[in-house]
Amino acid sequence: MLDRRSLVLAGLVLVLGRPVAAEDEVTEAKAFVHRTGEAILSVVNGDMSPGDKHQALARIVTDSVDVDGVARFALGRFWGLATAAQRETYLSLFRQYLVFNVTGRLSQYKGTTFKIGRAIPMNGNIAVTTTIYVPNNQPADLQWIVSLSSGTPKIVDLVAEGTSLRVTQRSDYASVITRNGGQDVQALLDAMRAQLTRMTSGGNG
Amino acid sequence: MRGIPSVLALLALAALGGCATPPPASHPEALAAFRQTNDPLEPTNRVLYRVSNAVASVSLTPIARAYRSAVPEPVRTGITNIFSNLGGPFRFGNDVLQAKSQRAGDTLMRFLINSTIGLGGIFDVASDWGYPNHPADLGMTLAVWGVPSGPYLFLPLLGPSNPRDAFGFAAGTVASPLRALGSGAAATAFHWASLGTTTVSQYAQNLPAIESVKRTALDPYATFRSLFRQHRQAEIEAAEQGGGHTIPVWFDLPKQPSE
Repeated sequence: MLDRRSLVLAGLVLVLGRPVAAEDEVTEAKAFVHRTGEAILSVVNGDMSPGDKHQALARIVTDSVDVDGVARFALGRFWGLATAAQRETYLSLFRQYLVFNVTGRLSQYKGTTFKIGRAIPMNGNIAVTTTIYVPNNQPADLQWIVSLSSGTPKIVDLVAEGTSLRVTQRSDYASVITRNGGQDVQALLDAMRAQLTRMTSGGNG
Repeated sequence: MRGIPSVLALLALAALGGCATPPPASHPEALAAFRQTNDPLEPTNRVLYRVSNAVASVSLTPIARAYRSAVPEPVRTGITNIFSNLGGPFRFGNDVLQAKSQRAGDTLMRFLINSTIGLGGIFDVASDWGYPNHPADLGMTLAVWGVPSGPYLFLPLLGPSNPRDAFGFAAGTVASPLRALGSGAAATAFHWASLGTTTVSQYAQNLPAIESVKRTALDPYATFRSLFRQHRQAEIEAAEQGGGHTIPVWFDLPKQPSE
């Protein structure tokens, strides 16, 4: 039986309950970023061989990043244009690209430390700010956009100085497709494959 | 004074150059994307981008690389700080024009603290004391006043820009407080030396990021365009949201609802 009092009560629970849940999510996202950052730095600053480091970092990336979500975002409106086979190829190329790009970059950051700053809910995600201290560089702020929608926290974007990694990636891909007629994603797949070949053959290129 | 005519001449040159053809109205998504990219002069911009890159790769890039390897980081930071501090009064003027009292207060406190305790601006003591640095220039002021950016422009030497920011830059060069030092040979020499040093130190600071984009992007031109837009938009949004009074960031304020 739903009388007025229980309705009011339910309303109160909804209203009062929400900030508590958001607070929990913020704490969870912060803890997740802390864990992930520590895991990355323990590999980067550790004594493993470059090959082992690469593998360890690749594992962290695939575990902590919503790779397929980021990939779909980066393809934007062209996702609908791609055939099933092209989507498959694209996702596979993107996964490899992300892992190579991230691990290639991270290896330059030996000696890096970081500090967790504030975290705020943002468009359904949580934005966790960290300050990164790279030796011989000025401290830089990096925002980790964490999604909790799948149940486990996943990184969906990184924002540095107001620039989003996935938005930038989308501009890059859109330009390649548009400049090649804008009707087919094949040109992008070819460019990505060529780039991967370059990266894997030329070190962290 | 030479700044404005040369920028205008560049704009005219860019306008005479090739224009991108918008997609047909039968592709509304493509048309929307074209408008969002807002780069109708893309063919000309790409030429200017290539030329700038070619020029930089034999001039600015090797200088910046040499500077990075010869000068240790703390010294580089000190040099960046000195020139940043000299720009304090100019930023203050823009904070005031934007009617942002807190940001104007921050800038004023930074200039006072860093010019004295920071030994002429070498050390950024003010940041540690809770007065963080923020950018403020005429292009941002115009944006806060509601002036739209206009289409994307890639300007030789200056890089990514748009008519609003290019105008702001040119007018800012004229209005720079450094000019108030006088117009003698010494003042002119100092002006050029400071411009040269600022350019090299800024470029050197951004060099790793620039080279990383060139290495990893499929279309570096489009990537730089996107990065510039996002970065600029974030700076302007931060300026628009800047309000309140001048208090150090560590001061215990009642919690904001958004935090």
